[in-house]
Amino acid sequence: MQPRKLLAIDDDEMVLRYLSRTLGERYTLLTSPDPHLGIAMARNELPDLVLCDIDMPEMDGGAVCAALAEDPLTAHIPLMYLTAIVSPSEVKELQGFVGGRPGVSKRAPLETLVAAIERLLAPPASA
Amino acid sequence: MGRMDPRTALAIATLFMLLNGGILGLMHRGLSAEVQSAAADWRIATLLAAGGTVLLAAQQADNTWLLLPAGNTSLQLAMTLYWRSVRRFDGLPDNPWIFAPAVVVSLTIAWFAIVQPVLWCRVLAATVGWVSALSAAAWSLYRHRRHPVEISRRVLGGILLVVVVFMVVRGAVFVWSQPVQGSILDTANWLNAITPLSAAMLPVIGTTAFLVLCAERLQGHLAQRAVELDAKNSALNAAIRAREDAERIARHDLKTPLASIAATPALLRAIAPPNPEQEQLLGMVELAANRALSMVKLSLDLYHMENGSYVFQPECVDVAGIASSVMHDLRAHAASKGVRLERHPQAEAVWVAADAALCYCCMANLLKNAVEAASDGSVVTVRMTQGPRVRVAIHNRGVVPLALRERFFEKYATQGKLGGTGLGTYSSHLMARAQGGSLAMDTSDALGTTTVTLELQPFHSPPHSAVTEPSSHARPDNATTAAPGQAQPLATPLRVLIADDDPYNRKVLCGQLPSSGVVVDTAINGREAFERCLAARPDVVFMDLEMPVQGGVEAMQHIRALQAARRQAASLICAFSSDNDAHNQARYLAMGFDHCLVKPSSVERVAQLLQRAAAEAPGRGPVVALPPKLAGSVQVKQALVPDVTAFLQSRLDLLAQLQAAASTHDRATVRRLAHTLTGSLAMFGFEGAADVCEQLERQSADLDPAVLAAQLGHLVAHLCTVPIETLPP
Repeated sequence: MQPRKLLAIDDDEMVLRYLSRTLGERYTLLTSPDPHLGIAMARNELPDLVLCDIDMPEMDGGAVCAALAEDPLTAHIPLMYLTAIVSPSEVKELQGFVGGRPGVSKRAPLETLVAAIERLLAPPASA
Repeated sequence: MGRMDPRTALAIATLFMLLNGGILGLMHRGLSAEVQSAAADWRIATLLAAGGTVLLAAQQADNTWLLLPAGNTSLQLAMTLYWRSVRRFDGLPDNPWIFAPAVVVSLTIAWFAIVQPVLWCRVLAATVGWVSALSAAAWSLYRHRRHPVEISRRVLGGILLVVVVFMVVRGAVFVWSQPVQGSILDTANWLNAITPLSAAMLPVIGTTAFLVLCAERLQGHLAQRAVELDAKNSALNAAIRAREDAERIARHDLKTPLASIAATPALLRAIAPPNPEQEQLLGMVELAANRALSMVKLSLDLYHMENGSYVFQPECVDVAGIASSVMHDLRAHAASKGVRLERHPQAEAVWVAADAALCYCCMANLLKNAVEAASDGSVVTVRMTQGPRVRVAIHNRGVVPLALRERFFEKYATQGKLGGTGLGTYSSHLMARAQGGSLAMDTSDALGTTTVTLELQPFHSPPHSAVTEPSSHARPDNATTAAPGQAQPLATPLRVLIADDDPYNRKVLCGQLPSSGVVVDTAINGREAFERCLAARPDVVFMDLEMPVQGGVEAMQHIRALQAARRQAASLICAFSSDNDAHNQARYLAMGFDHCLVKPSSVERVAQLLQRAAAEAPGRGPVVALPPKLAGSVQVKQALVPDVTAFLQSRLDLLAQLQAAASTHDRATVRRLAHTLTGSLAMFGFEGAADVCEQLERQSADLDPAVLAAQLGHLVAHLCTVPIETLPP
């Protein structure tokens, strides 16, 4: 089975480098420090999951999420926020949701991030 | 109310149409060229509509076979020309095929008028022809609307649609009632009376709307031109500003190499005493470099005077002494045209509160002009009088040309002098004003003389020394002076670090340090300076400000943080730059430099600084311990090890940006940067630093600047010094 494709959007290049180093072996990782470019990449590459920062100067995560949801091409792609706005314990209290979307704190250990990604990538259990 | 006779209605409608066509024809030349072809079509269409209506009205039983088809054809062509006019208005190319429906409809009408006269078939055909042409015109108007949409375009489109709707209703009524034959004019249908009036609606009201449309287009063009002109203007202004900036920067950049050249002769003399000939050459180099330096300094000062940012620092200056030395410099020129220079009173010092360099320059300009303007063999006198203001009157024979009198002190004002720039009097005027003085010119045709009077503020308590040299803002007030080359030996060896990207500057400064009692280290940029400080704490750092890779300010901040973290005594860090602007120097001191030293420096000033460093006992700076969160080591995942150096450098850059934002009270940027730092530091394993940044982010709205500065210092120190361990995969 081909490795699943992830698209990470974050204005901090170092965060993208971290994700490439830590998730690169497990997934095919695409990265973009520019949210506009990230949206265009999502349209072209149709990743299996988009990992997006929330607090970005040019366009925040909510706007990226709205742009992807509006486009029929990308509307089906699950999106997960990766943010330092909330702490791991706060994410737990919010039952894994940040701003109505699945989210993981940047301060959470790598295993938590991978588990959350896997949960979103797994096909919905059919009854 | 009686029904209007269809023929009367036709006559009224025709009259209106003809009037409109005529008015449009008269106004044709007044329209812009772009819309003239569209207007011509509109006018012909209006006249054709009028003609067609006349033909229909003139029908009699015996000529219907001719006038009915002819009138209808004329109307169909008119509608098609309206369509073409609208297309031409929007710049669309002509297409002959748009006449096809009109031709087909006209032939059909002729068939049902001559060969097989059926009224409802004719009405149907005419309706189809009108509706197709006018709907197409309305659609074209709608499709080529612009932003902002012209209001008249909407009105015209509306009128077209109203006519279309009317024609459809009218046609439907006729077809439904199915009269078999005869002229429309003969039927008793109520629609007949208003048919010609409605047909006239388009040429009459439509023409008005069309004219307004033309006017709106013209207005739009004018507005666009105005915007373009504005843009050109601002581009021009920006270019002028950019040129001025470039010139100022170029002058500023000249100062550093000139300073190095000016300092070299002293170094050469120190290596080996020169013979008389060498000494003469060295003196010339020194003199020329210093003169060039003072010219550059003066031009920068003039720039500041022009934009009002010059800071006047009055010194006690003997203006009589300055006048003497200017006269001495000019004596050869004066002698060449037999002009004698005199000063009254002769041997008395006149003290003013002024800037010696400006005073000299101002006086030199004025006296040179006086000598040039004076008639051959005459006397130029400089007369000084003391009172509430010190007056220096420069008097010469000769008058200022009439045309120049009003603009004598204006920039570029010059007359009758080949190669004159008109900058000398202008800059003198600026310099006089910058020193709180004034400059006035009085020329008398009757006496044939000119007097230029410079007024300056007197200095009230006479000094003990003679004319003071322009002082450096950087000179410490309590400094003891040492004779050149005789810096007092320092008790303990001092570690000195010189950070400058220019090798020549490093060499010059090394040469100005005492030959014993100091250990000298050098760095080519801020980053290297920081590394040197990591290796060993220097007592004194001479830090150039503009260096590639990392500038002096940033390096100073990192060094401060490092030494605070290591509980080392803070080094004496001196901003070493050719920038002698008082504002900037104050800014450097506020940023955390201990001292500002202007290039070129001198052996004495460097010696003073070293003595100050030696006098200050180590441990003068407050030593700050790192908070427990930032103590200990950091564990980094093995996969991330190759990125750690770049990561740390980029985080130090972010911290520097954060510091800059904090100094301008830009809370939003402080919050955003602290947020960015929190996430990334945690990811790379710097949990303690992430905690501190998270706290900064949460408190950014009302954080005490002192606390913020301390925390930033801790963070920088932590990132620079924390031991990093690798986590096994």
